[in-house]
Amino acid sequence: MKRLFLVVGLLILVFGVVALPAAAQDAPEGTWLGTWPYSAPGTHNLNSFAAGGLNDNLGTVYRVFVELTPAYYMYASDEYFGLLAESWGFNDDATAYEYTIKEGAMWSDGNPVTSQDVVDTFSVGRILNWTQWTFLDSVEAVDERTVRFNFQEGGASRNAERLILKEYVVSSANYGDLAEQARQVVADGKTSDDAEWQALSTAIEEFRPESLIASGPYTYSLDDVGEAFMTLHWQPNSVFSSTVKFGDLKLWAGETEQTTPLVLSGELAHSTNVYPPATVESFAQAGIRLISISRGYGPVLLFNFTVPPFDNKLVRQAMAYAINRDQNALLTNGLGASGTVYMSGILDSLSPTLLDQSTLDALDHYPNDLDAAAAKMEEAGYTRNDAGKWVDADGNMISVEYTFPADFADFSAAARDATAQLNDFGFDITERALPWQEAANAIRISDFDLSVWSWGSASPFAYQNFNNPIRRWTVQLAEDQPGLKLDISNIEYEGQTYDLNDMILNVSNGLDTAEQHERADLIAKILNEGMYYIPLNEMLSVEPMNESSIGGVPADDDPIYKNPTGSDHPMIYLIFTGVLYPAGM
Amino acid sequence: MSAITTQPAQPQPQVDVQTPNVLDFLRRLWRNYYVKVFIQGLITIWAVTTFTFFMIRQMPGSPVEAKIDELMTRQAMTYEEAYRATATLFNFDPDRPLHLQYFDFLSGLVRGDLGDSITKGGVSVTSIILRYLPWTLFCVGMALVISFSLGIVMGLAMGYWRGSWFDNLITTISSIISGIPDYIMALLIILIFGVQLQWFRIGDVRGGVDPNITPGFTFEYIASVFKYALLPMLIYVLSSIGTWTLSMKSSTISTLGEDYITVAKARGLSQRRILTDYVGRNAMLPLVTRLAISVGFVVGGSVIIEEMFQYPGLGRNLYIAISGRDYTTMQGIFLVITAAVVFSNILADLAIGWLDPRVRLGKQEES
Amino acid sequence: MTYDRSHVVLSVRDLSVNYLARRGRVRAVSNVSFDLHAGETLALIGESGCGKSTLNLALIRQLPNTAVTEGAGILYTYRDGRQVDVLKFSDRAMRRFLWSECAMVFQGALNSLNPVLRVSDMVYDTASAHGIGRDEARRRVLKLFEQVRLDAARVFKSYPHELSGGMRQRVLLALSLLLRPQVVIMDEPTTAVDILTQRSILDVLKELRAELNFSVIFISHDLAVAAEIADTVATMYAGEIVEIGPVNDVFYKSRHAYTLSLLNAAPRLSVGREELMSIPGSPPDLIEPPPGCKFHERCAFATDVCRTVPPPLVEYEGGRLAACHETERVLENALETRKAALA
Repeated sequence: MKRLFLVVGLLILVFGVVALPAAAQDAPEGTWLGTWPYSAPGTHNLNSFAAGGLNDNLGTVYRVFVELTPAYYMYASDEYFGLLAESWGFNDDATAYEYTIKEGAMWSDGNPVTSQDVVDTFSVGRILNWTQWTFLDSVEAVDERTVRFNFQEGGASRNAERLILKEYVVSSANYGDLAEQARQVVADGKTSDDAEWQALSTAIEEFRPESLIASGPYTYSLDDVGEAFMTLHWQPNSVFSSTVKFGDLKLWAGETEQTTPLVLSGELAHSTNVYPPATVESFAQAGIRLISISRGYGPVLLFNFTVPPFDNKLVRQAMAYAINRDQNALLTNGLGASGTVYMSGILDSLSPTLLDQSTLDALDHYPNDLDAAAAKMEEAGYTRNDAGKWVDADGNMISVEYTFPADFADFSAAARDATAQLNDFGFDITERALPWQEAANAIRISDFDLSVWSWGSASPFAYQNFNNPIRRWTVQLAEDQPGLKLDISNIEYEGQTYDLNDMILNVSNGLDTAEQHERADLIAKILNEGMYYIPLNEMLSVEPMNESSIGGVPADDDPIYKNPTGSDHPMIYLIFTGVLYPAGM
Repeated sequence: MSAITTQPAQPQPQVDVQTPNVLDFLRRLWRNYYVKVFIQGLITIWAVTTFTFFMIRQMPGSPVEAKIDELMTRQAMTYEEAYRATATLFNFDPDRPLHLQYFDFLSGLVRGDLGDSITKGGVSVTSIILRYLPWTLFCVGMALVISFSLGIVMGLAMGYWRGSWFDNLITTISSIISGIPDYIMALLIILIFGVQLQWFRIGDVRGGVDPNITPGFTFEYIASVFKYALLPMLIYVLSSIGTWTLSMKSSTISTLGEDYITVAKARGLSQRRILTDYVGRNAMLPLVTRLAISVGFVVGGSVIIEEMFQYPGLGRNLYIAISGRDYTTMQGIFLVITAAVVFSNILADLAIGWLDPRVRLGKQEES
Repeated sequence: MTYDRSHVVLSVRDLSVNYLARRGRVRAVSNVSFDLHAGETLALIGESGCGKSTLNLALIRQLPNTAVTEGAGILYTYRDGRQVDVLKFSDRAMRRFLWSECAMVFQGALNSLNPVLRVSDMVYDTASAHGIGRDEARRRVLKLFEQVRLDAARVFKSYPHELSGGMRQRVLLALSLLLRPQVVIMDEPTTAVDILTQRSILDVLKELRAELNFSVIFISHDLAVAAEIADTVATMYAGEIVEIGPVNDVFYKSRHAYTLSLLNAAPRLSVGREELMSIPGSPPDLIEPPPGCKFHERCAFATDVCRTVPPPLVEYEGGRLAACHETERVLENALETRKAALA
């Protein structure tokens, strides 16, 4: 009996070994060990448009592996790399944008990817009030593989191009019916205020596709979603199926706290989480390769403009001189941050491409200069008292609070260091730590004196960079949320009044790079002179890359690392093109 | 619960000789102890639920704003991207007046409908609770049973052989571990045994069950469920056993001073009999109330431990719901926790009456 | 009351109990010797803290671990004439000895019964620990309950808190006789109950004693009760037996100053209240007892010799023993007091 079991067991083993490679002949071997805070089973769905769906589950790094975008932007060369599209561009009079889908592009269900899929995608997106529809007039199929995006009057811009090329295309097999209804609702002249429109919007959100139809080289089903990790499996039909080198992408659930031990134990090879400097240090000691990628933002010092003396430009300028931004960067995120150089309102990594060199030279770089700072304070009518604190004519010190999110290690460190430096200089600032949701809310409802949040953007355009923080915390808030209490539509600069809101909104419009530069240069000068916020530093994402499980990691100075972590993450390019492969192969 | 008397219930004198009417019937119903306690429980639950309903809406940041902040800061999305990824996706109307939201909630509650999750795209709160509650009940419940039983046995032994090496050793250990917060313990275990010593792969202890095993009433599946619950349970046990042990020890010591123990010894009873029925049963009484109350808190699980081990329990979901400002899910989970605490308190009364014949629940309350 | 003076059931020889306290050794009981005969009732009298209860717990070896018991022996004679030394019992043998040979009725009936068990459970517990079947135990105890005038069937099923103090005391009394012991130690069995209950318990006790013929060591500070029930009285002071003898001799012809003081302090219906005297001072420190007679600091008869030389236990007529230097003056005083009382 015992022997029989043994024989049967051996047979199973033998057949198993023989059968396995035969069935999965083409699938590459090896597993990519990544992480994403996907929705847990039970709340997880495969809808490309709904909460708990693909966008939540795979996010800015992994969604493209199942649903391709037309192209991927390379920051270093300012060029697009085609994923789903083989060619793209504006038409001659810039009234439309066109792209052509690669020949042979196929869905995982075996059907070709066609222009109808793209049209359907944007039809559904229209019901959901996508940003693209603020500049698009219509989307139409030119032929089987070519799509044309017709702009509204003046809608063409490089930002529009980017938003078209970055949009994930979904399958008509899943969304064709909804898209058809969407076109019907629009054709009936309905608007987003109409019940039909809203009912369709709800129907889109509540739609639960039974399976994911993937154009990317990986796909998954709900059975692949566990509590601790989910797994994307290779599928053979994608245009990238033959170039990727990993058989599975295993994504651990959780964020910084949950992923730290996994990185240390080698069970997680690459992570996009923000780790505090001490943790990064311990990764290095464990022999884990660390790569620095632009994070696309940094901490900024925000003013409440109704709290004196922050309504005084001279005081704000003095504060910019008084803070040593290199020290602040070091304390914010160790070597994963650098002090802001240009103070232009655009990230230092993007300033040279988005602004003229003459403007960069003309800007006040606010070097750390306590004498200059003191001179500005005196000019503003302040004197130092016996204790070395600045007091106004009535002898009042600058006694204010600095609000910061206690649970964001980087932002709190930046705020606390700024507090310490300003107090050394002669301010009287107290720290006020809050949970991050409350800290954000404090800015919205103007319940703060000084605060910290982010500035800049992981976007190659001036508009998004200028937008954060000055529009985000003013005009982009709800009506009952006063935010910074700054009227950005009436900004004084060199004796003239400017509508900064309008200027920022339009800075990246059109296709004329020279005009864009000109507009951006003026905004940069206004922000630089008025010091409406002090960009403390610019952060890098220091991401662990465990070379014992991933091979082919490019050298630290590879231009692909110019891509920021928040969009067009370098790993996307490196996996798609087969640069990265499972170690030991 | 104040309705405990130490005397056997007196027969209720017939006060009202008028023809019984509905009011009279209700009054009599109200006098029934169990009915009264049950109704009091329901009122408590309603009050707490109402309070939490308004409190959670006072939390800074709406679900939409929280999501935008998170996406912008954590995933470095631009405002447009974050707004787009968020705004249209929540089936939640923040502008609906609060009192209307409250009546919606109450009327749903009466029909047993807790509504849909705000942030999880139309998943019903009831389904979330039903899916995750069993895991927490299993993991924390088992841990509580183990912790309580072990604590009782060890505390009893320590109290009985007070001053022995066993007593000294366990007292020291208990004092130390009951001072360490559970999440620190979890971190230490993960870092020491997972990262440093590599006794287990950290990823292998995450989740509730091996996802490759098909669910079913098979040995393989059940074994896997136990395996995944092992570490969280170990941490619950370690973090709570110290308190049980030390309380039982001191309760045992004071029981040992009772005359009936001396009498029992003088009667020549065996040590085992004295330990169990004389010392143990009496020393346990004060702990039983606390056990029943702890049972109520089992439902909430331990938010941080479940989050650390990605254990699919209600606590982890509460954590996710709070950080996403998912009002409806938070409400639902708080409701379950409140109900559990209220009813386990009632249970505590019943249990103590059952274990201690001196305490009789006044089934007919004195008017 | 008569008893068989030739048959000694329990012979205590030179028994001492020391507690180890931080300050030093507490001599709670020192060099106590006495004989308990079959059917005899010995009353131990003395103030609180004189060592009565310690002595009794020492006899059944139920003192806490901090107490050290020493002595020449506690010799016990079984019904079949076999003699053993209780001090030399193994724990196992001790457990078998307890209750079946020597039972105890503790003071504080309220707390002597396990509150979470029924009376029946405690009966079965006790019986099974000594190898007696449930039916036999039930039969025996129901009879005993009737003898102590309890509603046997009801009490048997009751929880302790459902019984009154007097009922509980009678349950304890019945329980102590369950295994037919030769010796029953009763530690203040009537102090916690009212006067009527006390009366009925004493009556029951006397009846049972007459019927079952067991010996009793009766601890009491109630001299009237002691006088009523005892054959022999032993006065204890500061851990020592200072006087022992037949009840009438000790009470009416006291030979120790302390016995006399106790008697004068006790309220008697025959004496006017105004003559009641309390004993001045308090019992001595047992870690560093005073030199000489330990009672001298509180004694009206004390002389110089009392302050330096400890009085030896001297035998007087009628098998009496007393340890007092001024025994003659005490006797004289005792006789006068008695005469005055009778007058």
